[in-house]
Amino acid sequence: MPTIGKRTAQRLALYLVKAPKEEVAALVDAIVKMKERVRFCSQCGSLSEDDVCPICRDPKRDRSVICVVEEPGNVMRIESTGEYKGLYHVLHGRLSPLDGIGPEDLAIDKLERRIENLGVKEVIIATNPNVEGEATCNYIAQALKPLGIKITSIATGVPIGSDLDFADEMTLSRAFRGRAEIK
Amino acid sequence: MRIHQIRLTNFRNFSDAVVTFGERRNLILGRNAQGKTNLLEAIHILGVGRSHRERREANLVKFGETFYRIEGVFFDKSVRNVIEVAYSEQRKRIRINAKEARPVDLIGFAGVVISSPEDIALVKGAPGVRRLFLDVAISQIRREYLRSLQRYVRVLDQRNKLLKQAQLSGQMPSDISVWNTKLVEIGAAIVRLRLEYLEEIEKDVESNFQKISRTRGKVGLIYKPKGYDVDSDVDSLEAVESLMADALTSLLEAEVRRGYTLIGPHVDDFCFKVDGRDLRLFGSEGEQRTAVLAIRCAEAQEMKAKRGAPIVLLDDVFAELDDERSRALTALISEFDQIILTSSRGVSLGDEAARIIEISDGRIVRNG
Ligand SMILES: [Zn+2]
Repeated sequence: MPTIGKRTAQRLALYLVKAPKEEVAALVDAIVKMKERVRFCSQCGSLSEDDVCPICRDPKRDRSVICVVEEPGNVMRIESTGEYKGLYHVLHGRLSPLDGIGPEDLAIDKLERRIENLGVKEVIIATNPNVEGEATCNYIAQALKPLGIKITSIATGVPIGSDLDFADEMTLSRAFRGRAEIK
Repeated sequence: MRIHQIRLTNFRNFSDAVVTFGERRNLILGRNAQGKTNLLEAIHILGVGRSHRERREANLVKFGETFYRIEGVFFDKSVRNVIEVAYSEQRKRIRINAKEARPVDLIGFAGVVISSPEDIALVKGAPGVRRLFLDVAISQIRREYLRSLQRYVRVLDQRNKLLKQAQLSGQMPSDISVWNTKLVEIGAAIVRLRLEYLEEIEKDVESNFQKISRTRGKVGLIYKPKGYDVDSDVDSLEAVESLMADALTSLLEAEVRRGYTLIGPHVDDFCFKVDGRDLRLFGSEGEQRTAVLAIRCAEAQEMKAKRGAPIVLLDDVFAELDDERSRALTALISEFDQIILTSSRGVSLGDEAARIIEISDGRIVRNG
C-alpha cells in the first residue's frame, strides 16, 4: 500500500494480531462496505457513493469554472480551504513516461466534452507543483487552447517540488486567489 | 562554519579516531598512506554528502568491517551543530543535529572547498569532472541551483524514457513538446547560473593565477554548451532559453534515432584559457596545476563572499610547487578562515601558528 513501509506494515499487523476480534471484524466490514459503495463520480471522476457526486449535484456550485486536479485526494484538500466554489475534474494521474503514463491515460477528452456541455468559462489547473504536474499543466493548457476559454494555474502560489496535499490551507487559498492566466 | 571535532569509525584506514581542530590553521602531518587524505575526505563528506574521489560508498568502509560512521561537531560563531553520516547495508544515513536529513540538506550547510592532487582533472580530465565542480560549487552558495539540478535530472529521465519509446515505436509522442519546454526552462536556468558563476569568479581566478605563476596571463573561463554557442551578448535567461530551444528543435530527429537527450547542462563543459590558449590542450603541467589551484582558491573566495567562510581543505597542495609559487600560494590562502592542510613534511602557513595533527597508520599520534 502507498506510503506504508515495511516497518509500519509490521506495526499495523502486530496491532491487528493483538486487537479484539470484534474490532478487526468491524474494520474488515468497513473496508468491504467502502469498496462496495464508493466509486468514481461519472462526471468529475472524484470519489462518490452515487453515480454523480455531491459536488457535481450541488446547484449552488459555480458551473462556469472547473478545477483540474491529479487525484481525488486533491479535491478533498481544496474543499477543506472553502475557497473554491466551482466544479472539479480529476485526471487520475499525471504525465510520466517513466510510469508509462501518457496523455491518452488522462481523462482529457472527457474534460473537453464537459467544458463544452457545461459552457465553462474558466479552467483552473491545480496539478502538483513538481515537474510531472507542471508538464501535465502545460499539456492540458495546450490541448484546451482552441476552445478559447480562460485557463489559469495556481502553480506560482504553491511551493515548488512538493505535493498539493502538503500545502497548508492558507497557502492553497492564497494560490487560488492569486492564480495566473496561462497565455 | 568551522569544524571543531570529528570522529571516524571504520572509515578507510581509521578504526576509531577523534580529531580536534583549531579555529584557523591546521596542519595534518604523516608519511604517505597513513590516512591524511582520508581525514580530509571525511570532512568533505560531512560538507557535501559525498567523497571527492570515490564514487562507491562501500569502498569507504574499513577493510573487514560492515559500516562506517563520521560525526562532526561544527560551530557557526557560537552555535553548535552536529553532522553525522553513516553507511551500512548499502544505505547512507545523514543526521543534522540528531534529525534525519537528505544528502541535499548537507550541501551548503557547513560549506567546504577541497583542493587535492586529483584536481588536475579539472583542466585535463573529462567534461563530467568540470560539471561536477560547477554543480558542487554553485549548489553550496545558491539553493535555487541545487533545486533546479534535482528538477532537471527528473525531467531528463522522463524525456529520455519518452525518446526511447519514440525510437522503438517510430512515432513522435504528442507530449514530447511539454517535456521539451521543461527541459529548456530548467536547463536554461542552470546554464544561466553557471555562466553567472564563471563570470563572477573569472577575475579572482585570473588574479590568483597571476600571483601564483608570477605572469600577467589573461585568464578566460569559457562555458561551452553542446549544440549551440553562448557569447558575451547572451546576458539573459530568455536568450539562453531561445538558443537551447532552437538547438533542441534541430536535434530532435537525431535524439529519437539515439533514444536520449543530446543537449542540455548535463553534457556541457567549460574550458580554461590563458591569453586565448586552452590549457587542456596547450598548457604545460605546471600551468595546469597553477590553474586548478587558482580555481579552487577562487571557489573559496566566492563562497566566503556569498555565504560565509568555507572550511578550506588543502591536500598536499605544496608538493608540486617550487619555493616561489609556494610562497605566493601561502600568501593567497592567508585570507581564508579555517584551513586544514595535509603535508608529508612541515610547511609554513605564513605567520600564524598551526595546530599540528599527526597521523600514523590510521592513528592520531599527536593532536595540538
Ligand atoms: Zn462529480
